[in-house]
Amino acid sequence: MFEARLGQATILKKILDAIKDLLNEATFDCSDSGIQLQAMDNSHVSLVSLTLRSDGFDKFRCDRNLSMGMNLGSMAKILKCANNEDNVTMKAQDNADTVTIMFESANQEKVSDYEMKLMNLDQEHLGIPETDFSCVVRMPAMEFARICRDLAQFSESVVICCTKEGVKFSASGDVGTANIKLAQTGSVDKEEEAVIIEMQEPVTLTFACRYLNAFTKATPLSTQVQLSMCADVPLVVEYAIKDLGHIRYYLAPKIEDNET
Amino acid sequence: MSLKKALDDCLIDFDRRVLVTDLLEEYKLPYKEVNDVLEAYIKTQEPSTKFEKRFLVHGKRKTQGSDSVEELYSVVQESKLKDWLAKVQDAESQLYSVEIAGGSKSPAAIFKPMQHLEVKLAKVEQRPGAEKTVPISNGAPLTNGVKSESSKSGASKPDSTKSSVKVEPSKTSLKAEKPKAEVEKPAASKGKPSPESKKTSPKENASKAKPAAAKKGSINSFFTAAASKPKDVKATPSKSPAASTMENFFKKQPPGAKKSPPEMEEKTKKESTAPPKTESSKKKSPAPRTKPSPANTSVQLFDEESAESSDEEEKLDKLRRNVIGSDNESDQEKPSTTKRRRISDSEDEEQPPKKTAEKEVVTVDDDKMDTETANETYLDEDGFVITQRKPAKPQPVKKKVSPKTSAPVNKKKSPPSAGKTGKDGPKTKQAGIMNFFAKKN
Repeated sequence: MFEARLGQATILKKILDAIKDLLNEATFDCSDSGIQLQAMDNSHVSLVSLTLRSDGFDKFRCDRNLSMGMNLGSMAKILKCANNEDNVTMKAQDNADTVTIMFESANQEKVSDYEMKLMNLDQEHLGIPETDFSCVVRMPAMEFARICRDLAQFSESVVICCTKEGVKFSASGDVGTANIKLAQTGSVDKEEEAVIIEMQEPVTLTFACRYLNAFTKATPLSTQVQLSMCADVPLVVEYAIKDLGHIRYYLAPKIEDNET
Repeated sequence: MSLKKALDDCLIDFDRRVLVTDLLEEYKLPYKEVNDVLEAYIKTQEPSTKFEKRFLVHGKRKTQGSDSVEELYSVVQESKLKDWLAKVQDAESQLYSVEIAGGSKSPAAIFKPMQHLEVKLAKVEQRPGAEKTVPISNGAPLTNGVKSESSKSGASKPDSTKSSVKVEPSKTSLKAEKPKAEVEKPAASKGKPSPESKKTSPKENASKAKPAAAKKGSINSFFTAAASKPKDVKATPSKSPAASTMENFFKKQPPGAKKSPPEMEEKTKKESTAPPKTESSKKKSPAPRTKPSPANTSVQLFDEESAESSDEEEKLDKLRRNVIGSDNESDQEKPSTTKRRRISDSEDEEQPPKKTAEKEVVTVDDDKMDTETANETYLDEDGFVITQRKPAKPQPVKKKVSPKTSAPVNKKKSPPSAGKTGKDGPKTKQAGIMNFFAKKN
């Protein structure tokens, strides 16, 4: 038996919104520690890793490890039926082929449940090694989303260059070139507006704008985003989900093409 | 396409005599409508360009000696129309043909640089450099050429051109039907009688000789029109004396007279549909065409022109390919090869075939421009036909040429900029996430 309850449906909605553009289907792996999801996008360029800790749920019960393959589009449709303030409960029997998603209004006057078919997804799980990143940039999630959106107009690729001075996002294309530099903020009243750079070595990496823009769908989940970079290692874009876990996106860099 | 639209688009070439009958057939319109449209068009054009109109006069006249009344059809010029109407009983007249009055648009100095004009005006010897490019007229003493030409032109402009016209028409019409775009046949033009060339400026000669037909104001085109049509005009009415009314005349006449033109049209259309052959046939087959050339072929000529202008680019492309691809000049029998030859011969040997092709375009375009810009053309004291077109001349050439020549430059510009992004593209490739993370199981 699996049962997980969240106080606000809006969080689950945002989570779904953050991953459904990249993933059509995904397997939610439920264990007593919580819910995890790992899946590559169709082109196997990026990887989404979602972790929802069990202690972040209002109620969490998982008698046996359970993998629930879901069509994320369908799940998003169901979640649209919930009000933001509703409690949401996911339930599934062991070895069941359906999952029940139940919405309860705050005053318990309205209860709606939706049953969704589960899927057997043969998805590969990748082992993600722990990496000491050369540069870790923490910056406002909104700012990052804005930068990705703006630079995507200039090129398909964004070069992220992290130095002592700050982090520079640049793109060049037919229109011209665009450079956006962010310096580390000195002292900021609001923590969420801070730009914090932890740098061991300067790093310059090129990434596809398209994926970065897909990652920024998670912006509503968090005020800050963390970019972790290291040469020849995928970029990690992490959005923390307050009191619940995090969502990490891994994006393979563009590498020099030796063949040409 | 409606007649009005054709007129507005300058698809009808009034340098050659345009028969109303042809228009009737071409546009399937009643006479009245054609007449009205044509009159309206002429009115709009009249101040700047003069048109020479001919009218069909129908009436009855008494034969001398006897009282018998004879039905009479005659095509007369506008100036004589009143006399005829007065002469003939029960006379009625209808518009029969229209053409631009001779000389009004005569040899437009399309490619004639102003320097030539100035030189001639000043009666200064031309520079050797100029002579090379325009070999024909420069060497010859100006006065000779001028006089002979002026006399010719003088004769040709008025109605009485016929005699001189009759001599030339076959040749000129041949030339006229030859590729209009073949402007660059200096060699060929050299061979031609110089008098024509003398009239106009040296450069014209080079261009004029062949493309005469194409250039709307050229003397050649005028000659052909004047030469071939008067005959036709008189012949056609005489054929149909039996017709009793004017309406009948106009309705019946076309089919009879048309028998040949439609065929020609069909031919031209067929030719135009087969792109590579069209040009060759146009360029080579002037002779076969002129053989049947019976009555007024104005409509047919329009077809050619319009077809050429529409398919112009394709043809030119093919031409270029042909010219570039032609290594063996030996096979002259094939039309395409002769084409190549012509082109290669036509220009200075140094010039690459592409240039010739481009020039062709330019000439054709200029023709279009000609219709738009009003030229001041007059005979000066020495008998030069002088066309002053100061601002218009350089512009059209630049305008038309530059896009073609500059277009590639622009294209070249953009690729590098794209190349920047492209550099990113080819230089870097998107790695897969699996390259970095191994599968767990």
